[in-house]
Amino acid sequence: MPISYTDAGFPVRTEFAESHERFWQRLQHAGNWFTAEQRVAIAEAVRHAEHCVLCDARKQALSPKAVEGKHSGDSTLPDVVIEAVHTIVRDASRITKSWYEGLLTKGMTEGQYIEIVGTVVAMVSIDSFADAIGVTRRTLPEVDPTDVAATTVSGYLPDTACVTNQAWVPMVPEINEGTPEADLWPSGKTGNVVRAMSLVPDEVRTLKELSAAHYLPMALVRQPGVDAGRALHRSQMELVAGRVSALNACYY
Amino acid sequence: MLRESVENHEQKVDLNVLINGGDAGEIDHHKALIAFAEEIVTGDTQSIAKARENLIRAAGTDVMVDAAGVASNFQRMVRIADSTGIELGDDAVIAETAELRDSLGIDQFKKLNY
Repeated sequence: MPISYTDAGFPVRTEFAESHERFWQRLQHAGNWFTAEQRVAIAEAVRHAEHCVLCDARKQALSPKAVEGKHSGDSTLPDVVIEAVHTIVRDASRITKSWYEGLLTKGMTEGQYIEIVGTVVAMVSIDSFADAIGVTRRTLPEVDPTDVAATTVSGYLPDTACVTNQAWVPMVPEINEGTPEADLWPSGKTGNVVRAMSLVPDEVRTLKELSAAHYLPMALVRQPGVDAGRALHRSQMELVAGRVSALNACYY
Repeated sequence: MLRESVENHEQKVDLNVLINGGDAGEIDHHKALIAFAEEIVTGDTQSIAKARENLIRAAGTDVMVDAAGVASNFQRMVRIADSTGIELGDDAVIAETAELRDSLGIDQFKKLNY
């Protein structure tokens, strides 16, 4: 059954359910680097992370490196993937370049890392939305292990992606005209936060879709007076956005 | 974007409210919105419920739902920025935002490349 929020007891714009349902459908398909089964396991690990004893201890520690142990929650995923998922969920503001490079040293690829980031952040926003409006979190989708689309990873990497001084991770250049990634943003006109996951272009497509439902379509973000007919006017939106970002200790 | 938005709406807001919480007087329902945003970040469902009810009483369910959307959106955006080590932008962007970052103390959140 498709996702809906009719159980909320008050009207919820349909864009929320529609965009969340499309993400659920994405989880049911293999991505560039993980099978559908692995992608759903990553989504489950996001939920385990919230009750992880090791993550609790690391949050309390002056340095997360000072606390060793095993993350909570059963999973079929390798430990290095679980480490990435839990840290992005629970302690993202203290992620360092050396921690990221450590994951690569342990065998994770840059593409896998970005697909993990994309899955984690989509889950965080969808679950956070459910908690905020007071409904139970939606049940994760089931995967058909016999479906070729669920098991065949594409391994796609954009030809133009490279590491620059603008991020730790490889990104598609801002000028993307004439490339398969031309739909991700208007050539030459975007911020690093949109480009950040462009090594796995579908993660940017999901980001755009979820952001358009939760906040504003990307094309309207830099227009300060525009509220796209939301119940909140733009100053109210930015007050909420800015306070959430500051509480998460976000520099960007 | 708050600075540009309040200027566009011809409002006056001390942007320190983003860092310290408190008062954003000229923005409708500012206290209930800030409280709701703060509780969403804590993830404590009981505290969220109280803040949600306060916001609904103050502004209605449509405002609460859209505030939930924005807050949960930025729970995502901050993690993208933090986990990929992105910079603010090129030299022009850094220069453009220097004064604001300095006045709000945002640079304390900057990641080090180690």
